[in-house]
Amino acid sequence: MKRYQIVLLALLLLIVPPAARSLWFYQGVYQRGQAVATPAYSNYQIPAPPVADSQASSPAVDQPVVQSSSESSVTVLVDAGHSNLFSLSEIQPFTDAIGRSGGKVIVASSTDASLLDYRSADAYLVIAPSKGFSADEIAAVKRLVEQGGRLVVMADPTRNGGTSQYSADVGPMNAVSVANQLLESFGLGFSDDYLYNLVQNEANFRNILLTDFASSPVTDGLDEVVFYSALSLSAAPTALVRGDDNTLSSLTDQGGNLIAAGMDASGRVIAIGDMTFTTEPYDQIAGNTRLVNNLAKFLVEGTRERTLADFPYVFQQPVEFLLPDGAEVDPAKTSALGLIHASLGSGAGSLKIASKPETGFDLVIPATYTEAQGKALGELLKVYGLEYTDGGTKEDSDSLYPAMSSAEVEQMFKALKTAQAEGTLDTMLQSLPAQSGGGTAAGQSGQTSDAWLGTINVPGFGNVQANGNGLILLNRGKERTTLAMLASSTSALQELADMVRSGDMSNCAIQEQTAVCPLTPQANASGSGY
Amino acid sequence: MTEVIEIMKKWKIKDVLVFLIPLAIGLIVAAFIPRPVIGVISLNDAISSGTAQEMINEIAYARAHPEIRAVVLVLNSPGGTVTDTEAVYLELTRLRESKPVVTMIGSMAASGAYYLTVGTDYAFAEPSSMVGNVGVIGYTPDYPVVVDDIYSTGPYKLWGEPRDQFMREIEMLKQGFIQAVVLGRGDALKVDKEVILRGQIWTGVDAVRMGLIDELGSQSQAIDKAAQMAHIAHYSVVDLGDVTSSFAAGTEPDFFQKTSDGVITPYPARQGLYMLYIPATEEIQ
Repeated sequence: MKRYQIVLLALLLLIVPPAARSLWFYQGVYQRGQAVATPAYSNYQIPAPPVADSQASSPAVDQPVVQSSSESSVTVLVDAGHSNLFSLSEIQPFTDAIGRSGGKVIVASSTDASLLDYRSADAYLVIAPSKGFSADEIAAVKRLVEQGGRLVVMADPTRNGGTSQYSADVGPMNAVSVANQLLESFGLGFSDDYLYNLVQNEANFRNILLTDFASSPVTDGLDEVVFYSALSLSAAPTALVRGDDNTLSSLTDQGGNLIAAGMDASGRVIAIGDMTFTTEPYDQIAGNTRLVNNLAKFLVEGTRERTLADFPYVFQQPVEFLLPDGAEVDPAKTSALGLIHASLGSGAGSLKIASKPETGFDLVIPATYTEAQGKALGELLKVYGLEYTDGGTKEDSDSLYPAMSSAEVEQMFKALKTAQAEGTLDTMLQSLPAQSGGGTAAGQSGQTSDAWLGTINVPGFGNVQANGNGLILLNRGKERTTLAMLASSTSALQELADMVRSGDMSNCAIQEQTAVCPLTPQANASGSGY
Repeated sequence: MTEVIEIMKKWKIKDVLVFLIPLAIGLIVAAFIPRPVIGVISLNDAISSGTAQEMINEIAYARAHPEIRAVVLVLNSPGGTVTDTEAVYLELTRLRESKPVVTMIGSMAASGAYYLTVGTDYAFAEPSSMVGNVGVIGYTPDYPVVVDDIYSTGPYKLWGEPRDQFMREIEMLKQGFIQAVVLGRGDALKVDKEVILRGQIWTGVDAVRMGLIDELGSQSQAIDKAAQMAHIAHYSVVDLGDVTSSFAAGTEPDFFQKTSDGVITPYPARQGLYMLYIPATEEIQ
């Protein structure tokens, strides 16, 4: 065996075992084709919000907030009586904008009071209510809108019921369904969903950028707004704000023509599927400030034409009472004046009596039918088209008081005002024996008021017997609103005024601006009926 | 034959040693060639600081030991904190530079666990495995207020960050997540990013169709695949949790909220940022 053969064989014996073992286990070498790529974390940036539309925000923000109730004639009622899932401080940018636009914000915090509040409201703002509206409330809101008032209803998918940090008294209902109770009669409705956009959004898929606006004063000047979680509208006669094709509904994960804000056919009701854009700091994003300002203007620009049913919220100016020179003033009439004044509420200010109508004041004329036919008032009351058929007079058996001097009248008013302020008005009035049906002796004090017992032809009602009926007549003139309250005698007038003050005019027949109210008739009346 | 015998008769001891010594050396050298190992790293819990550290230790072990030629990551997890998820993900990418890593999804690889999945070379799941839930979630910080008894040097010293900042941060972290998915799945991905970012959970069957994972299969198939990728045969399988000296902290005991009667809920106990699947319950709805 040659030497090289020996070496070769030895080498083979050396190599074969490790080679064999290697091949047994390892059949190749792992080599990565491409380097492992990882996200370029350092390049990522926190998404910045769209720049606020400075032109939209500056002019309005620079204006002072009008908070004084005396300077604001438009009352915007903010609902807080339906376990609403928001706090007033949250929407301060919105309430400030309402103030700047000339509106007065009144918060309706209890459902019981809200029926009265609706009468006072020129506009109504409802945000995320979770306690249902009663049929009466819905009717009152509908009436507000029909009379020209404005309604804005906001819902929000993040404020849709369940436990709440805003109120311990959380209603059992889903806020969307409660809001829809109110919106149904206006052809509007929310879907119980939320909108999202995964393609283009404001820092989060649920913060949607909206650029599709219908032409409307509410959308005037808007290029882009951002809604921070919004519901879509299931029905809207006018779509004010729409999402783009990539804006999808959580209910269907489908998009296209989804409506984020809509308006009813009358143009007086707006439903918006978001409320966050009215809160800080989100009101400062993109065109949100302008939208907030536009909405505030929308609320205060409605002109509500009230009827008698809205008494005492029928006046736009300070009110004065007309007592023409020579008018009969006895305590019953004074009491009537006090009662009517009390019924106007605390906003009416101090009682003012004038002998002639003055510019800048609305007018209340409390008078007997006899006075109404007289020269002093006849001309003023002509506008109501009343026609009188004489039926004679009868001594007012209820009236016990002598005529009063003006100083005595003033003193009586002061006493009434004090009693009203102290909450003892009812007690004081009960102490006056002049209430109808008092059954006191006639002529006890000498002078008495005669009750006119004829018949009055009231437009829209026909002939109304004067005895046992009072009339409340409202007229809206260019200069002033005039409210006339007429009855057969001062004691009947007092009874009529008491009925008005109680707020219960349910016994009256009310037709737009005229009401006929039943009063206690004079005993042994001799007047003709109808 | 007789000729060979004749030659051998002529050999002396010296001549025999000439062959025996190389053979012995060869055998000794061969004995030092290690049997290849496929390391298994298991995650059967949320990704918290404890489980993440345990995984990182096991990854480090795999990287440091050449006989470990591939790693199979077995996931049964709803995800966890963003930070811990990213920490494990980045360690996995380092390991993949030298060794293939294959994922086997058991019952669930949701959110952060799916983040880890896309950080591996190949992914298996069972047909009914829950896969996906891509995204970031967290509790919004409270509105900052001044607390009478606490003094700090800045308005967010106590509260961490403004609420708005929080919202924007999770969006940024989401970008990292989706980028990891796109990079990790590459051309295999068959759906748009927007579909993935919906945060939906899919079954293993759907996940394969969408390209979120590669194949339906079992853990043994995942091991075979790892071996194939590492070009090894006759390997052994070692649970790296058993061989590492990690302290095996496991999930923090207070990671999830507990009810008053001690039942663990799916909600994280602490405020923060999570890549975690939190099933919506009545409490959230």
